[in-house]
Amino acid sequence: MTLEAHVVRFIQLLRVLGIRISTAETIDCLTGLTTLDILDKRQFKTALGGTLVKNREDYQLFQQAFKIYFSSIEQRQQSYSEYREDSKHQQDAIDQAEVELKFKEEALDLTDEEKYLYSQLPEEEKQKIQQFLERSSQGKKVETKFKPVIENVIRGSLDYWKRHLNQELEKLINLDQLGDEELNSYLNKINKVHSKGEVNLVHEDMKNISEHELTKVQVLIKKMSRRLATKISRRYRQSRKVKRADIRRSIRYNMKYGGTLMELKYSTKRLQRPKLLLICDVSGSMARYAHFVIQFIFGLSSAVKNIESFVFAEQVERVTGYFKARQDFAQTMTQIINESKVWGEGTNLTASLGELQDKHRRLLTPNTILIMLSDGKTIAGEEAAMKLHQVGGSVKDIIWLNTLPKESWPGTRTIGQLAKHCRMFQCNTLAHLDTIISKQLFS
Amino acid sequence: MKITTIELRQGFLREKYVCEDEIIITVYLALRLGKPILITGAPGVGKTEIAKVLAKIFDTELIRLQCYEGLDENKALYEWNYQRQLLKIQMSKDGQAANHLEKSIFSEEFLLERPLLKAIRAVKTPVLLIDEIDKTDEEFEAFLFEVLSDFQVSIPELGTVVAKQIPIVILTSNGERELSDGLKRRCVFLYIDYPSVDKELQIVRAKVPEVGDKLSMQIAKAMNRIRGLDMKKAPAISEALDWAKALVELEVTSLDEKTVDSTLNLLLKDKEDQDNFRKQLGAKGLIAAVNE
Repeated sequence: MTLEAHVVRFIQLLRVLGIRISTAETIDCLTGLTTLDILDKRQFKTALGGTLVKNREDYQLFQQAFKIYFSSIEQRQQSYSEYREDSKHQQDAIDQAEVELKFKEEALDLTDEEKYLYSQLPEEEKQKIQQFLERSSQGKKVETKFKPVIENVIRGSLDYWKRHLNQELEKLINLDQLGDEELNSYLNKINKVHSKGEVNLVHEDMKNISEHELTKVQVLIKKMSRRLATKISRRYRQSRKVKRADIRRSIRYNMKYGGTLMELKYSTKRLQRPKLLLICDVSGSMARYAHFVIQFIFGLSSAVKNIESFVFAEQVERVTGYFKARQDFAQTMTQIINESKVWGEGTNLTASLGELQDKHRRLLTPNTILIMLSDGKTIAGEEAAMKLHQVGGSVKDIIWLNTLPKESWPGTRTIGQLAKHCRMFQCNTLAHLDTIISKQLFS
Repeated sequence: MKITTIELRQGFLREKYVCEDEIIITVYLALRLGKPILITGAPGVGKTEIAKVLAKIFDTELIRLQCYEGLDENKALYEWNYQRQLLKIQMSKDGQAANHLEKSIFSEEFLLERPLLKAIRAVKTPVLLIDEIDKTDEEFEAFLFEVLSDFQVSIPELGTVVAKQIPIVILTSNGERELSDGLKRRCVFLYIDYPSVDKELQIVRAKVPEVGDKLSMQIAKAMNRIRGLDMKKAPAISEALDWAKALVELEVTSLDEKTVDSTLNLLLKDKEDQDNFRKQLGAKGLIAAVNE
């Protein structure tokens, strides 16, 4: 295979990994290589990195991919045999599930992902499902036309396990993404390294971040919060840029030139940065995100002056003071959890927003941007949505960062109701937060 | 640009810019491809310095466009000298015919050249430094990448000005905001991290030769240790050099707790960071770390 072909295949691999590379960049890369000593691996790698990867976050992924793609023949062969083994393992599990999941001797119409999920369940649970299918098949007046109902019941059960065993379950990986066995084997290897957390923490669900990774996460959140704050204030200042000639001041100033308008004076609006108001959910359902919530407030508070922060569950509670004390993260966290009266309660967004309106009305101004961090699970969804709509009328914008995965939104009625009155984004990994800041917020 | 990697490396060394090979190769690549280099990294790691070094290596002019929020085409490209034009109109009220007057006031004489136009019209290939591009607005960025693609601008009254030489363009960013894909696509990318202890040692010795072997090693180790702390702003290379110079002036030959305490404000310019340092490590901890 020629060098060009290798580079193009490597680029294909990077694209599947999520790095955006245009044709122009591919051409730049190939042209660049003609000017360097390509037998020098360092030069070769630098040329590829400099022309194909345009941000630091992607660079780590690039390095991992480079290491695997341009490895020795033995290592590549090993990746290939691992891939074959994994493919076989997945296929066997799916085939076995197909044999076990039958209703009236007919295989259930489930997706490969669902079948694989079933294969991952504890043996005891699998037995229960099989027994249920057996009993249902043998019942009186049971006809094959009931099959879709049975399939739905099984899907519901699988969905339950998916949510409850999220961490322990191995997900079905599409091993044939590139239609090329060799490239697929590299991708498989990179995904494995990635899932071991060797690449970065940004794609990890924040509720799963372990204690020893917290410091790294803290640094990342701090950085991102700073970017979020800059982006918001920059965006809203832009629209105020229009200059208007101030005739009165211009004439007065130009009197010394005999009335000829030598220099125009402009009236400019006073620049005002929007005020940020942060409201984070600390109810029971959000307990697993406690670290994320506090770090997010911590990061934003250190990046933006005069930010007001609140936590809420059944009521709202002002926490701005804790973050102004400039203590370290652990101290702040302990203090808030110990002193907070709302921590871990049920969620009543209506009451919380109502209290905010009553007691902190001065914070809800046309110059305020309200950032909510919550899973959107609340009692009295309809009323909460109305309240949110009311609050929306007093502030400039409401940005809702939702820790619940987007695919679960349709199943939670309140989210649909609340989403109508704000801009809602899924945000349970640092990668989400990054995408919101860079792409979605003002697209 | 005709230059070899060896010549470029020698040039950087001559200008006392100590760096990894990756920087040399990326700069070389950008020069050969005729592409702008987009350099990112924390403040004070030597991004802007690369432009200055290149200007010295090629013995050419460094044209700098310092970006800020609200920067527009008038400030970056060109502007008509409105006051002079008015004066000219006033002075020739009676004499010249209107069309002749219009032609004369929209001539080169009344054109205020700003950095981008200056770079495009330069006779000898200049180094154009577009510093802190992340501070500008998105609309200016879009305008900029159009200029950087064609290296030509159209001035309605004068016509199209095409670059005589394609300038060496260096863009720097502190990563305050994400740059557009369009701009990034047009550039060769370079990320500069804080230097390793060895590199910093070489930098300190190259830039402040008066500093002794022992002290320079202690400074390099101290910088590395301090940057590992949780700070609002980690000290930059330039701050390490200022510190080294100050220590030389104070006739210090080896770091001790008292010296660290009394000169800390040269490294950490924020009260909160100084408190963080004292809380997380302190002068005693730092001395123990550098003497390891």
